[in-house]
Amino acid sequence: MNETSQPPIIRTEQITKKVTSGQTILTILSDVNLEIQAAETLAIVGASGAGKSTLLSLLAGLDLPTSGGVYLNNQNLNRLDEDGRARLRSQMVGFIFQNFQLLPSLTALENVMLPLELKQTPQSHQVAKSWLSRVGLAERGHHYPHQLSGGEQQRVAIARAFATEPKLLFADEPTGNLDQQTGQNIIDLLFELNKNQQTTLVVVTHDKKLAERCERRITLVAGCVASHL
Amino acid sequence: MKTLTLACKLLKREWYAGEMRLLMIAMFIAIACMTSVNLFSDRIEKVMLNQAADLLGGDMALTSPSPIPTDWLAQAEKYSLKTSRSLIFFSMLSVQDKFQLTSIKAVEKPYPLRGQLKTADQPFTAGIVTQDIPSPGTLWIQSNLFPLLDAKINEAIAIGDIKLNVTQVLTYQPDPPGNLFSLSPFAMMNMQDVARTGVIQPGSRAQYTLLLSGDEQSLNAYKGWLTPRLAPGQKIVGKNNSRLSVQNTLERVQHYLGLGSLISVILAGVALIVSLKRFTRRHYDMVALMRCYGASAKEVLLIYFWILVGVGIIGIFLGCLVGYFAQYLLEKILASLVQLELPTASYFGLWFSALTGILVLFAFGLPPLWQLTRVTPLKVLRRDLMPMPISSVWFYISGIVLISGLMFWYTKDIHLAVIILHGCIMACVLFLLGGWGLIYLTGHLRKKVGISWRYGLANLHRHWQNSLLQITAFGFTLMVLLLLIIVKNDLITTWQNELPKDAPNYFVINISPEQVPAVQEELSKGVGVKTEQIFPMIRGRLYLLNGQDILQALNENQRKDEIFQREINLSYTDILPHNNLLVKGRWFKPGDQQVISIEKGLSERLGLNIGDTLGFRIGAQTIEGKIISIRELNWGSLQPNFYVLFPPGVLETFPSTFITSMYLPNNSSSIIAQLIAQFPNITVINMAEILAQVQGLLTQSSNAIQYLLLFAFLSGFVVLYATVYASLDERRYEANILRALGATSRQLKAGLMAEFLTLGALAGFLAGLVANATGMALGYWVFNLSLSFNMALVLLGMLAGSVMVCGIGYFCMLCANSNK
Ligand SMILES: Nc1ncnc2c1ncn2[C@@H]1O[C@H](COP(=O)(O)OP(=O)(O)O)[C@@H](O)[C@H]1O
Ligand SMILES: [Mg+2]
Repeated sequence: MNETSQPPIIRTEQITKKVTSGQTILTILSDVNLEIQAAETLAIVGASGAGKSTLLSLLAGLDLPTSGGVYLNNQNLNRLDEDGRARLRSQMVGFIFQNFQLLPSLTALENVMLPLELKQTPQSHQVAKSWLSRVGLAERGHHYPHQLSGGEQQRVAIARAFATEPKLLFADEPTGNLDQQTGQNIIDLLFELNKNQQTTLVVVTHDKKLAERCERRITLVAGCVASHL
Repeated sequence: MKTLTLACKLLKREWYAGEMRLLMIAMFIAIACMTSVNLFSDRIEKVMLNQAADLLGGDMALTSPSPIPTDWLAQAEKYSLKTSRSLIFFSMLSVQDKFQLTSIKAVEKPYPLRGQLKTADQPFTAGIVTQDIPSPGTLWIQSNLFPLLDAKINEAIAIGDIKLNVTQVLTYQPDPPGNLFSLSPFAMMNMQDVARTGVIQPGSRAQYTLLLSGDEQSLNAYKGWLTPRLAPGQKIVGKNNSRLSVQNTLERVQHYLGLGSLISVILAGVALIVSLKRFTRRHYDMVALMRCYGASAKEVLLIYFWILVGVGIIGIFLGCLVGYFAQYLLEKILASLVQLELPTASYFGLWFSALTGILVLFAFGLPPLWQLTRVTPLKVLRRDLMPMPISSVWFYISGIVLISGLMFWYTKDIHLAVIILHGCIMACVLFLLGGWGLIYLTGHLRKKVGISWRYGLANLHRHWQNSLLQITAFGFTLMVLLLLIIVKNDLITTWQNELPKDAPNYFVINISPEQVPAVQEELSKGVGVKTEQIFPMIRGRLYLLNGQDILQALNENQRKDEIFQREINLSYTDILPHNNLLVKGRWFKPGDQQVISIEKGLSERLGLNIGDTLGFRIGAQTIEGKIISIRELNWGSLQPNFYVLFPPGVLETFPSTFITSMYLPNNSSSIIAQLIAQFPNITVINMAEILAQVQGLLTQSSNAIQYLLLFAFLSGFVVLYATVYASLDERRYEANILRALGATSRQLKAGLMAEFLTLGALAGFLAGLVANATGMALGYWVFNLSLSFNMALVLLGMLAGSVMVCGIGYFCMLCANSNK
C-alpha cells in the first residue's frame, strides 16, 4: 500500500496484556505496536500459545490491554465502556472463528441473520439469503449446523461475517479445523469476497498458504512482535 | 423494540428446544391452581363484604340469651326502625321413632329485613325466593332432614308438645351470629307456635334476636340509646362488625385453600429455576456471539427477559383460563360447607393470579437469567471462559420473600404465616437431610446389586443435587397428602379409642330444676344406661380480680381469652367430679363460704393462683370467691366440665338449668323418645351426630385440599421432568458409552427405572416419617392426644411415591427419546 495521508484504521501503542493465574502474573503480550491501514490484509502468525488470539481480542475491543492503547478508527478503546465498544463493533467489525461458532439451535439462514437483526438492518432476511447464495449455500438455508460439513459451516460463518458489510474483518485461524482442500477453498472464498468488499482483513493463522495471500505479515513470538514483513 | 422483535424470533426458534415449554407448563399449572383458589376466595369475600346485611338478615341485630324487653322494641319504632324478632333454639324433631336434634328458628313477619329466604317444594331441589314465612302450624325444614327423619312434605313432625305440618323445604336462610352449631340441620317455624311447644322454659338455652333495619343515622341513634342498657350476654351486631359463624368457617377454608395452592406455586418456582439453569447454560455461546456482534449486556438481558415474559404470559393466560373452570369443581366439593349462593367471580381474582404469576416468574426466573449478563464476549475466542456464577443465595432469597408474602396474603396473619413458614422450612430441611442420608446409604448398596440397579443407584448418587431436589419436591407433596389422611382419620379415631367403651355418648341439657328428680328417675329405669353426675348451670361473666376490673390486670393476649367473649357456665357441687384431679389446694369443706375452685388451664392462661379472688356478674348481682383449689380436667371426656365450681349454698338462688351426660347403649332410642315426650323442654344431644358433623367438615375441607394437591403433583411432575431433562445431555452421553460397551437398551431402561423407583420410594418413606411426626406433634400439642406411629402410612407413601415417580419417569424417557 502506498503511504497515504489517511489515518490507519487500527493503531496500537505499546500494548501489553498480563493475566494473573493463581499466584503468578503471566505476560501474554508485551509492547506491541501496530498500524493497519484501511482495506489492507494482514496476517498474524506464530506458534501456538504465542498470543495471537489475545492480540486479536484486543484489536477487536473484546478485551482491554493491561497497558497501552488501541485506537479503532481513531477512537481510543480504553475510553469506551463495554457497551460503547460493543456499539463500535456492531458498526464496523465482523468475525470468523476457528470453530465456526455457529449456533446449533439456529438454521444456517438464521445464523447469518443474527448480526443483521442485532443491527436492525432492514430486510435482513433477503440480505442474509443473498449472502448465503454468494458463498454457494443458497439451498442450505434451512439446515441446522449439525447437518452441514465443516467447510459448509465455515462458509456460513463467512456469509455471516460479510453480511453486515463491516469495514474490518477479524479471522482467528479460519482454516484451523479444516482439511487441506477445504481450507484452500475457504481461503479463496474469503479473499474473493474481501476484494469485492474492500474490507480490512486481519487473519490469525499458522497456515503458511493463508499467510502468504496477505499483503503483510507479522510474527509473534512469546507475546512480542518478532518481525514485520 | 429491537430486543422485543429479536426475543420473538428467538422464542419461536427455542420453542421446540424443551425448556421453554416446561417453563410454560410449570407456570400454567401453578396459575391454574392459584386462579381457581383466588376466584373462589374472591367470591366468598364478595358475599361477606357486600352481603353482610343479607347474611345477617338486617342492618343491625341485637342478640340476647333472654327475651328482649318490649319497651326496647317500642323505642326502636320511635326511631322509625323496622324490627323483627326471632328465636333460635335446639330441639328434637321427631317422626315416629326417628329423632334429629335440630337448630330451630322461630320468626315473625316481616322476616328477614334484609336478604331473603328460599324454599322449594321438594327436598334436594333448587330453591326460589319467597316473601313468606312459615304460617302458624307449619314447619319448613332443610333437605337433609327429610332422609334423617323419614319425613315427607305435608306430613306432621313433632316438636315438643305439638306437631307441625311440613309445607316447604327451606333451602336458604340468613345466618344469625353466634349460632352454636351452625352445622346442625335447621328448620324454621312461626313465633306464635313457640309457647305451645313447651320447649322454651325459663333458663332454657336459646338465642333471642331483634333484627333492625333503617337509615344509618337512626340505627346509630338507637345503638347509642341501647348500649348503656345492655345486660351481660346481650350484644349488638352490625353488618360491618359482625363475625358471623359462616364467615369464620369460610375464612378458615380460604386460608387452607390458599396455602394449599402455594405448594404448586413453590414447585413451579423450582421447575422454573431448574429449566432456566439449563436454558441459560445452553445460551452462553449465543450470548457471547451477540455481545461480540455488538449487543450490550442490557440488550442481552432484555432479549431474554422478553422471552421469559412471553413464555410466562402464555402459561399465565392458559392457567387463568383453566383455573376459571377448575374453581367450579372446587365449589362443588365445598358446596355443603359453604351453603351460600356465591356471586359470580370478579376479575380481581384473575388479575391477582396473573400478577402473582408474573412475580413468580421474576422471583424465580430472573436470577438464573442474570447469569447471562456475566457472559463475556471474549468467550467467542476462548470457549472455556464460563461466566462468573452469581451467588445462588439470591435464587433462594427472592423466592422465599415472595412465598412468605403470599403466605401472609392468604392467612392475613403474620403469626400464622411465620409458623407455617417455619414448619415448611423445617420439613424441607428434614427432607434434605434425610434424603442426603438415604442417597448416601443406597450408594453403598450398589455393590450388592445387579448391573441395572447399580447403574440406577450410581446415577441417583452422582446427580445427588437433582435427586435431593426431586425427593424434597415429591416428598413434601406426599407428606401433605398423608398428613391430611392423619387429620381426617387418625385424630378422631384415636380420640374415640381413648374413650372407655361406656363413655357418655349423649348430653342432656336444659333440664329445669324441678324436673331433676323426675329425669333422674326416668333415666335410671333405662336398661344399660349409665348416667353421670347432674350439674346445675348458672351463667355468669368473669369481671373482677381481687376486687378490681380483671381486664386491666391482664395483658393484651390474656384479654383475648375466650372466657371474656361470652358468659361462662358456673356450677356448684360438694363432691369433686370424678374425672377431675385436684392439683393444688384443697376441696370444699362443709360450711365453706366465698370460695371457688378453678380449672388448671384457665389458671395458667390468666396467671391466677390460690388466694386470688374472682368476681362474677350473675344477672344484676356480683358474687365473689377466693380460689382455694385448682383442678385438672379431661376436656375430651364427654362429661360436663366447668372452669369454675362453687360450693353448695351460694348460687342456688339464681335461675339455673341442669346438665348431665349419659351412656346409652346402641338402639335404645326409645329411652330418648320417652324422655322428650315427657319433658319437651329438655334437649338431648347425640355426640355421634356432632362428631359426624365435625368429621364431615374435615372431610370436605381435606377433599378440597386434595383437589389442590392434584395440581401440586402435576407441578412435581414438571420438576421431575425438568431435572431429568436438565441432565439429559449427560445421560445421553453416558448411554452411548454404555451401549458401546455392550449394554442393551433394556438394561439401560431398567437402570433408569431403578433410579426412579428408588427415588420415589425414598421420597415416600421420608414423607411418611415427616407426616407421622407432624401428626403426632399436632395431636400432642393441639389436641392433647397421643397418636401412635402409623407404619401403614409410611408404606402407603413409599408405594404411592415409587409408582408415581416411575410413571412420570417413564413418560419423561419416552418424551426424551422422541425428542432427540
Ligand atoms: N485469561 C487467561 N488466563 C490465563 N492464561 C491465559 C489467559 N488468556 C490467555 N492465556 C495464555 O496466554 C497464552 C496465549 O494465548 P493465545 O492468545 O490464545 O495464544 P494463541 O492464539 O497464539 O495460540 C496461552 O498460553 C494461554 O494459555
Ligand atoms: Mg489462538
